[in-house]
Amino acid sequence: MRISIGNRQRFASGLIFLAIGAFGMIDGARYRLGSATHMGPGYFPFVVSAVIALLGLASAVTSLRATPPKRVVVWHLIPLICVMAGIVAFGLLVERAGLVLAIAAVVVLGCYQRLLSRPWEVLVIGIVLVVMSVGLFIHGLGMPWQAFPS
Amino acid sequence: MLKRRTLVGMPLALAASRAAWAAAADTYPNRSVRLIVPYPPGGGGDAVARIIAPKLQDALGQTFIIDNRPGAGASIGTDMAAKAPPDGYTILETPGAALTVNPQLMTTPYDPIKDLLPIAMVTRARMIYVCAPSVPVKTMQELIAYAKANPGKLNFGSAGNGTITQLSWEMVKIATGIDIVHVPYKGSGPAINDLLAGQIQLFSESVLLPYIRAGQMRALAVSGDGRWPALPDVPTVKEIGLTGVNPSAWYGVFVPAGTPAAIAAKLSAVVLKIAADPEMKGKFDAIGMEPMPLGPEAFAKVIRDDIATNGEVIRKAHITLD
Amino acid sequence: MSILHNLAMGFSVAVTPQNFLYCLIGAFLGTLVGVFPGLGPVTTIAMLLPFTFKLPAVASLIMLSGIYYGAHHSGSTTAVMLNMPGEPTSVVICIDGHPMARQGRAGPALSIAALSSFFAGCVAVLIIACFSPVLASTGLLFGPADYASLIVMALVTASALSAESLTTTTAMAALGVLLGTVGTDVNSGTIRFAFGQPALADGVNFVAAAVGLFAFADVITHVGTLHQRVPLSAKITGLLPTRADLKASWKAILRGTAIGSGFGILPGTGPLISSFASYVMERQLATDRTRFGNGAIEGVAGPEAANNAAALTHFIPMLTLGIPAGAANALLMGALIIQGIAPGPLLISQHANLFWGVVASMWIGNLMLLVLNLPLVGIWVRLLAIPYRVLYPAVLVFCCIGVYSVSNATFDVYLAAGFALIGFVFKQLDCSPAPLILGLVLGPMLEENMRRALLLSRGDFSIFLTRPISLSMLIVTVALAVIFSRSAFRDRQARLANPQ
Repeated sequence: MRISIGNRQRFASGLIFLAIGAFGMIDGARYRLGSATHMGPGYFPFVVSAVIALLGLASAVTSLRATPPKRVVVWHLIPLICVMAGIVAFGLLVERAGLVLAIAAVVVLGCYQRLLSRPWEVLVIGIVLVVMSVGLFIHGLGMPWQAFPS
Repeated sequence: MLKRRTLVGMPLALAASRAAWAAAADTYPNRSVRLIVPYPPGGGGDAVARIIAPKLQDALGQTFIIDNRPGAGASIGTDMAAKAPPDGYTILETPGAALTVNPQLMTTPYDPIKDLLPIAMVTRARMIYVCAPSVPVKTMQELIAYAKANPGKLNFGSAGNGTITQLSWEMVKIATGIDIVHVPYKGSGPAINDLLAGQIQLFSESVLLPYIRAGQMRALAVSGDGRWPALPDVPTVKEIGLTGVNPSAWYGVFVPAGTPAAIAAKLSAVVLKIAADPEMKGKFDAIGMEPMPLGPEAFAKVIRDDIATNGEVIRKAHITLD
Repeated sequence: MSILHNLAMGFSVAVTPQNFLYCLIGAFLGTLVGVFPGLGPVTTIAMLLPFTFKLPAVASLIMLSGIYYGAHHSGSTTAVMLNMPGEPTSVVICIDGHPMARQGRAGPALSIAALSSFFAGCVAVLIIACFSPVLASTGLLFGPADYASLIVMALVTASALSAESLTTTTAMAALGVLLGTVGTDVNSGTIRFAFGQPALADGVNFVAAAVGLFAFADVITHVGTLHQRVPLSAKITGLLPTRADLKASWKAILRGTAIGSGFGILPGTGPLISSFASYVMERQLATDRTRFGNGAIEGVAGPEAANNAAALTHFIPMLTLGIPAGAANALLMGALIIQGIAPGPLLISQHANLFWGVVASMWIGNLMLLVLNLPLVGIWVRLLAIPYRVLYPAVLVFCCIGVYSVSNATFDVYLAAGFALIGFVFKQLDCSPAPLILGLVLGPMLEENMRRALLLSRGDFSIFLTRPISLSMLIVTVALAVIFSRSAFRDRQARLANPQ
């Protein structure tokens, strides 16, 4: 029997909440629960996770017969991966290789679409941002960061 | 085979390296120094660092950049300093908790004795034991009697589990056997708020002078040796005769273990001079601290004693992080 | 008439050409640094604090006041322009402010924000001048049980923050609360959900979460559709609010000012609850609720007023009792202490000229903000005209720097990346992040206060009902829950009847 889902987004988010709630209940029980009058560190997370799980379940169930939303959702995964990679690269580089290289990584990865079509634009953006950041944060505000690899 | 040469060569090499050492100490510092403070900027935690940094700059001629690395009860910043290269260009300024309390409550990635070399103690804070005016007692002895007559009635606040504010009263509990209930807060500010509001009755901190002077809190005792000029009518805990009650709150400077002795000695001399400077006394007074210049050996002994004392309190009071 | 006399004294202290200049510089610096996404008032003040150490006490306070307001206000600027809240209280500004910018109405949005802030600031300064001691002791009346009930009330209003389904919004708020439990539990010292990371021992960093959920998630969503994107201000319809705008907003401004002045005194929770409460109130009172979330100007005017009023009255506990009511206050208090002045109950009597000078400087700071920001609106709007493909790398870079700068911790950057993923997924699934942020900030306070109340009452639950303030909060909560579910029901019926 094929189940037709009315509102797909709400169904998916409902399932996600259910999963998070379940995880929270299992992991939260690791900590001492205590009682309602003398709560341990695990009590509150456990109860909140249960609430999330219930709401997720309710959301998923009601979404089955809901009216479908008007907009079509497209999942562009490449921007997601590239931008996240850029941010992570910043974290990896800023202390090991200095601010300049970290910024360069963010710009290059963030502008992945244009690296071949408009490389000069990317370069100019990168240089401007580097100069502004180093000028403002390291020289202007005296943050104890390295600009270049030491 | 090369023994003869090395035997002759060794003293020469030693002399040469000693000269190099001394020379390194002479040229130290020749670039800016990073002063790690394991507390967020602007709180009480980095006030001492902000006061001494400009003086260090004046004395040594290089910039001392304050690098705030807060987190995990000062453990993050302390660990970072402990693992830094031991060349004298990373120093740590911290109050005692990171060394004398944290490693005994949780596993810290650093060893307070082995990984850090004490340079000097800068200030010491007097912990003031206070009660709310609503409690019908005037002295610590009366409080103890009142608490014994009303077990489980009085609440004492703290700035968090395992902080010196908690340990102070736990020490009193252990020494006298009274039954008072611990109410932890996130920092001293909220605790002071609730004391003024009457939710808790007892507290202990070093920065309470304005409230005592305004009559909103009553001082029962202070820690430390000898009466405090700021509160000359308040007895010390020792005078009252409470054994084992010795809350120790100090601020000191450290370098990673393995830093060359000459550089460490130079830093010690400079820091001690700053701490002893009469001009600094006013600034430290404003944050409720007394300058307490102590050199490396004396300082190291205080640290060892504190670790032992605090360890015992933690054990006896069953203070755990659940 | 001693209040007028005191104010006059304060003004004479503060209004020297020198101090005026310091205030302007401070406001300018605060705005400039604070406008960087991710750099909220607290980080900005921390960075700029050292500049003030060299100045004498009154001058440094005035400069700090300028910095504070500059940074505080720029939180709203980034909220409108980039959907990036500078601090928790600016989250609500994103909800209607950014859609206004997308419709080419960034100018009116920013201007009304500046105007309502100024109005609220003037009123709040008067309140501080006249009622400080009274308000301070009122704040002390709130015990842990009362705070807990107040927060429950605030969390219930979270459901009215977005037009999405009730279950989704509530689940997001609850998820925020769960995320808020990560870190050290105040009452027991246990470190929860840290997965071995010391950086998580102090909880999820708000800046990392906000930057990830709002700014980064936005960038990710838009980069994919870059070629389809209409430039933000393809049609700039003037810089100042129109008459219709002002007519729609003035009541919101009055209500917001009242809410902010009142709730602001409460330590910790005050300003946040003020801005959310104002938004929810405006939404509920509006005749056409569907405008909200799509650029309703009251949704900017009211919360801005509440925000600024609360930011000012938030100082009262610090100035009168020496208790810093929040992180920014703690920084300012630290600055005072380094100058050798310990704020406390005796500040008013012993350093009268300083206290009144501070009060006067608050007003001057507010004025400076208006003077600075109205012209700046033109510049901000022009910045928005920069093609998005040039703008978004700058947003990415400055957000990364901003997140890192909070504790000089690379972990926070990774955390922000994680939140970017979460934010992206939830955006695709029509889940709004605003309730999550509310839960993240209020959740820990709820738990802390609930458990403390039970600790103090030795396990007696009735304390929530026997304390008058707590009882009234709970009654209001029930009333609000009824009102919201009825209007949500009516909205749903309207949507079903009119499926467009």
